[in-house]
Amino acid sequence: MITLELFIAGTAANSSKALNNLKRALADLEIQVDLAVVDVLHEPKRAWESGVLVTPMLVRRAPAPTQMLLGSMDDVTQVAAFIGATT
Amino acid sequence: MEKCSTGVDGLDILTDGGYPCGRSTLVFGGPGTGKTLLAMQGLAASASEGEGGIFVSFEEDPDDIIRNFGSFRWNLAEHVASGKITAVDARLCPGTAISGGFEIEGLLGILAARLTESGATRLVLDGIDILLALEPGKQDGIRQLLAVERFIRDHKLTALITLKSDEVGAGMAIAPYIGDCVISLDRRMENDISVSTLELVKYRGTPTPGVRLPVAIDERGIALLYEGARMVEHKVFNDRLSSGVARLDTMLGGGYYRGTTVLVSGSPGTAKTTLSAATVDAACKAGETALMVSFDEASAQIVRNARSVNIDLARHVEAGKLTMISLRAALAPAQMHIHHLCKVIEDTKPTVLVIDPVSSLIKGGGKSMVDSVVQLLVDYIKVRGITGILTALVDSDDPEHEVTLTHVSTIADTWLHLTFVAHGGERNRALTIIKSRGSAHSNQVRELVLSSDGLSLADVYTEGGVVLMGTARLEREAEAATVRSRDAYDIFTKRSGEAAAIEEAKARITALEAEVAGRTKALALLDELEAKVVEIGEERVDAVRRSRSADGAPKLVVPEARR
Repeated sequence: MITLELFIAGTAANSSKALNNLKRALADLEIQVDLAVVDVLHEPKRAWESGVLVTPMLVRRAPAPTQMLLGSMDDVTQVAAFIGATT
Repeated sequence: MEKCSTGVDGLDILTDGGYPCGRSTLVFGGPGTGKTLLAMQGLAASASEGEGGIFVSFEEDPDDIIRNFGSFRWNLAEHVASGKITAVDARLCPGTAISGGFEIEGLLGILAARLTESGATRLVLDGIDILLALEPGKQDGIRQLLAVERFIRDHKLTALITLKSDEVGAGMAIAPYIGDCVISLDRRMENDISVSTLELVKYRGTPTPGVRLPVAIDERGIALLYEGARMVEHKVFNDRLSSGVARLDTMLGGGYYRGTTVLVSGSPGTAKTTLSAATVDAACKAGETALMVSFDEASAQIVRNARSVNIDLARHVEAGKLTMISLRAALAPAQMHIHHLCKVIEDTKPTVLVIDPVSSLIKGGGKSMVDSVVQLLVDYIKVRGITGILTALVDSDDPEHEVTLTHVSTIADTWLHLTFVAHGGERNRALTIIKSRGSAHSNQVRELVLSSDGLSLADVYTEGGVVLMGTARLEREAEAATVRSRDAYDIFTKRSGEAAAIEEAKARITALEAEVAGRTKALALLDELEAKVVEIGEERVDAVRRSRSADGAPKLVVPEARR
């Protein structure tokens, strides 16, 4: 099972873009993932404790090791590669 | 504008109080210029005052920073433990991939929460350019920096943002316009010694002196050698200190004024150190406290050498009147040496300071830096009323053209120059007073003589407008002695002649007096004789008359007819 966390900053431009791009990539991949979207403006402590300070940040908790992807994820192939078991 | 202490005394003076409160200060600098140090020092200073701060590191592991800065006397570990300082690791995890743009708002949101929670009012964003450089578009970096600036203003944070100076050229040229206060740190190599400087580039609402100041680092962190424009606060005295050479004091109109700075320049071996030692000796004997700083010569050796000219420095050291320290010039930049010296001065509180030679500092940094450092030192000692003797090594006999001296000589109140004068196959030490502010001083070139009795200036013998020295002087001295003795002989002879003549005359007077007496006596006898002759004559007339039957007194009988 793939576990993802996406840290966003409210409706900031790149965060919104990232959320949309991620959703599109997940739809294209047709795989089941456990996705949690964390708005750091509402849950700053969660971000702080995860060591995430910059948004948008996608964290792949499982499978190990934890990987991070920063940015609006405009490149769908790169996002797919990051999420997928292909890495 | 309210200001917050920077934790650096000199910088507080330079900024007229510190960083702008509730505003952002940008600190630019290349690698190793002390950006992180300056930032953390400020946080530690405010933490000591009870003000909390957050340190966000984009470049280094904050734990490493805290550990590395543990050696400074800031109680950093305590501040971190008590929560006054929170260090945040804002580095991206290793291996973090980048895809597209990002925004700083998330970070600012997290910081806002953290600031509210801790009550911190100070913020450091250390090396934020590392993050901004990951932005695909240059404008995005600037946009985010502007967002940061707005955030700082909105939250009334006193913030320091550090950036690498090379980023200024790479699309961040606009960055300096953003901060209310901009500080530039620089480090460059001069003579294989790294010289660190700080410049206050701009400060809205506060005048900037426009000078690049030397930076030193000690156990308190960054130290900025800046006393401000305090020239007017130099202490002025009317009493004088002996130079240790009696005739030199005379030439100077009574010695050096207390609290002034004396430059003693000269080529190697011209007795600059010995002359300084003589001054120190005289000062200690007069009850002053002295500090003698030697570069590249051990104190013990100076003590030994001074002893050869009858100067006992060891006695003053033992009596606690003299402190001697010896430093290796090339081992630290000039500003570090001076900073160290300022601390020694604070500890020993001397009234007389010798730096021998001040020109050695050039080994620890280029001329311009040494000039400003020497200026700072001179200001430092003048404000404290310390009399300074700075020796300077020059390689030529023409001090006016010696570039290394130009600045020091301007600052100095008295300038003595020692040279070797070559004449008649020998070299003799000559001393000239090039200037002495406020003193009527001799302009004569004098020979400085070192002997086992001490230092002295020889008598002046001039010949064809040249002051004679060494053998020429000795010859002249002998010659003069000869002339003197010949003159003395002549006078003696003449005097003897005159005395004899007087005696003779006196004898003649005695003889004449005797003659006068003799003749007077003879005259008296003649008078007596004459009286007798008259008496006898009258008796005879009477006798004749009697014999002619006349009686009585002879009478002249005049016939009647003739009546």
